[in-house]
Amino acid sequence: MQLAFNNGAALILGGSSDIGLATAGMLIKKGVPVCLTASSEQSMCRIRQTFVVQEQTCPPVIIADLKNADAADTLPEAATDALEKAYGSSLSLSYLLDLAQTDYETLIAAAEPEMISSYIAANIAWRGRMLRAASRAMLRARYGRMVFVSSTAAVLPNAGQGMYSAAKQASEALYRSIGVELAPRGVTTCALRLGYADAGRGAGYLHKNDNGRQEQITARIPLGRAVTITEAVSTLLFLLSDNACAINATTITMDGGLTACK
Amino acid sequence: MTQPLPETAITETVCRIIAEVLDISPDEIFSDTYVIRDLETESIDLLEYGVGLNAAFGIPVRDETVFLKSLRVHIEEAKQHNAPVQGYLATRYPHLAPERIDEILQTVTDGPVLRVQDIVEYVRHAQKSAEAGCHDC
Repeated sequence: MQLAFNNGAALILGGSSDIGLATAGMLIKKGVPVCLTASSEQSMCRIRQTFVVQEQTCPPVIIADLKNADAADTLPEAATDALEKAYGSSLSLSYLLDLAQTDYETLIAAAEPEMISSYIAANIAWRGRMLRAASRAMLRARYGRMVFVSSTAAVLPNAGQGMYSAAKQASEALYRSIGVELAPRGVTTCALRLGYADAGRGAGYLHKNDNGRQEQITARIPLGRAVTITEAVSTLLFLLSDNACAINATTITMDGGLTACK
Repeated sequence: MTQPLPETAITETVCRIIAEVLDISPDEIFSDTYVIRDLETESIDLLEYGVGLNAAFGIPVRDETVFLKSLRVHIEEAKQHNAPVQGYLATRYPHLAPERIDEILQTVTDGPVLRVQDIVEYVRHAQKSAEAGCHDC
């Protein structure tokens, strides 16, 4: 299937993740100007290094500090400025892929009180403010497509994933509401709930001190294996494309059937 | 930030933004037009007006303030604090003249009070604040 993308640019939050990098590469191949965000200078280096290794020109990369709530308000503007500098012309922001997430896994009863507040501020409040700004930027062109990468942990958390689960559910709700509110003006949204994926944190979890863990996990998945990065990226590419606009204000699960089981 | 414009140019631009969103002629909109009462403005339209104001004038737009969204809430707050309502509203809506606030209070029971001129005043105030280097005014 030929995927259609209009003349706008894409912003990928959490651009240094395996899925973010791979999706960026695919979008660039399809002629979509891309700006990635990194959470730190180190992540920025990872992005640049990846494109150097692939002998490709690195797209613009900007820092998105989820601890800086005020910066969320200006992130889309910073992205379009960076895109204009890199591509030499003014570009509207048409696509948003959101993989941004901070790390903190612990039992809720064992969590540091301040960490609970800062985690929620970074992963929910920050996202709400970023989405407000991105929505307004997209409304100017009366076109926008936003895709949030969620997790099956939103509904099926392991012990220690309580706050991660809460953040994913709340973020899904933010995206869903924007799809309800702004679809009449051309801005649509969806979320993709990934199950165990052989990428990023998922790969780390699957392969860490294995001891048969991978077999135990995959035995619970009807498909018998984790989602591959290629599968995740090709699905995200479709969901971002203009072809998928009717998939709006909803969440799709891609977990090999894991959450359908008892 | 763009250069401050004369009031007539601001009014014309505000009317054009509203007309584009509602798909009507700007000639149907005047400075004393009630934005919600006279025009078929919905909340999503207000959002687009805000986006249009930001793009056209390069000013930060606070929808709550420019569109007097929480007017009734602020009136109740003033009463709860036993504060003079006019003075309280003046702190919430610094772009509105005292005479306009009085007029709003006299007509608030008739329906949504927002007029095109109120939006024009917001733009003028934002431009003046920017000129004075006040980013949070």
